[in-house]
Amino acid sequence: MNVAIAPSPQVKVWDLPLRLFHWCLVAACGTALVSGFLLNANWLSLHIWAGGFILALLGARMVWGLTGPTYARFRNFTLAPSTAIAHVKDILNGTVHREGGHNPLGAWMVTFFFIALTLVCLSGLGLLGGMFKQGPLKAYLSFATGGLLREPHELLAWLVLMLVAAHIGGVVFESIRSRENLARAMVTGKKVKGFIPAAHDFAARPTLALAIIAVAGAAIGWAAISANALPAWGVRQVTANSAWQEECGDCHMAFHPTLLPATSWQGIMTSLDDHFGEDASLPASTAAAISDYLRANSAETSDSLAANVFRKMSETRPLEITQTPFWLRRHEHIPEATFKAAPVNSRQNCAACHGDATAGTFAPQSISIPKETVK
Amino acid sequence: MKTGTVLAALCVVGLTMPAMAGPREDILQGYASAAKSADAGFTGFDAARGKTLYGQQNTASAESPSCASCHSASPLEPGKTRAGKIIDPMAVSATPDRYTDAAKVEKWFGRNCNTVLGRDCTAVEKGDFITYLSSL
Repeated sequence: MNVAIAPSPQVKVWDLPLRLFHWCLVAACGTALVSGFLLNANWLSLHIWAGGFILALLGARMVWGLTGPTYARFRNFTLAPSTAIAHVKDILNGTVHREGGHNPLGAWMVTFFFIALTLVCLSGLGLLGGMFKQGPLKAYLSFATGGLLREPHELLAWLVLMLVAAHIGGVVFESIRSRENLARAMVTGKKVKGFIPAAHDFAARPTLALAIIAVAGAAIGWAAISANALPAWGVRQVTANSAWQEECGDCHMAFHPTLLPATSWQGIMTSLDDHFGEDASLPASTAAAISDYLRANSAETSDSLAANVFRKMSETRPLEITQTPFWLRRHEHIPEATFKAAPVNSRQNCAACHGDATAGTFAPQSISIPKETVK
Repeated sequence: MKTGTVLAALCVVGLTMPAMAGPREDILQGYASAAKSADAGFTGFDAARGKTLYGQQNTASAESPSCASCHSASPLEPGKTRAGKIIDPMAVSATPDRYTDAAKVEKWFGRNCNTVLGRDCTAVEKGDFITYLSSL
């Protein structure tokens, strides 16, 4: 045991594309998990890109599993339950068989990873499309359908986190047990000679792999971009009304009609002589025209994110967007001073921070709280 | 020689018709007539009274006790509505098209006098207000 450390003869097991895949996946999953669990909605773009990258990596790995060299091939993943049971028995009675590729439990691990990651990405894409009206599924899913995917997305993310823990635990355990640093092998690609070789030998077919990835990637990319250009489910284009724009916009931004339900608009338009403490009376004909416009385009007529979240009004102050439970929850971390200081000036000045507020969109990515300006 | 004659004529015209020069003067003229019919002793608008009206603290509204609360203490500076929207300065020298649209002027006197004073403004108050803000 304590003889001179002669360099042990090593053999290449993990090819370069496979190793790149592995570490890119680590980075993408890390980014997705951190941005999803720890960071706020401003990081949604990063989260979405990480998810998309994971899907692309999984797709490429699928191709490589059918075209890559020996240890990359799915053919050499031993998923037979009997093999897994035998492996567990080996662990229990201390027998060590070093494997060239994944050991039987490792193969199961990788399979679970594949399934869980695919599902977490697809559920994310679904809720992005339905709730946020973004991405390739926005034309096909309602806010309610997207909302159904929210909890599964989060549960699957927790599952991925548990799989990561199990994977790292398994690698450490097996590295100690087999006296071979398996993590380093995923960096160098080499394992010490003397392992059990894979059942089937394959030559890599990189040109075929690249061709499949290029064609499938182009097709999926084109489909995604085309779908992304479609109008979102249940969201009509609302044309601006000049009376609404001018009269409401005299004192504050003209709030998009989809931001309040019809009953709230009606309440506002019938109490303009005491409009939150101000007399904002209008000639009857102007008021009627604005009322018609607001009612025709109220929250009930839109499936947008904002129309959905602001539909639940405060029971005591049903006319105020800034008193809705959602608004309060989402703004509670913003200090009073930020609202008061220029250029925000008030809670009603949505457009100061929401770049797409006048259109009624309110995408998380469009939020940017401006720096205080000294007047 | 001809140019000199025209200029001289223009000067004479300009000096003799100062009160009927544009929409703002028309608006003031209208308030003056209303003031005279309400009180025969009305002698004219007063910028000093307008200044007092602009700056005074009233009790009708806790949120908007004064014109200056939204329009800023100095009429030469931009103001800000309670909802945070910037309002162009009230002084004509800073916002040249102020008090040139009669309907707009009436709309805002109607709303804001009611909010800040809790009543309509009189014709004298309106005229004083515009006179003050035209004098800065």
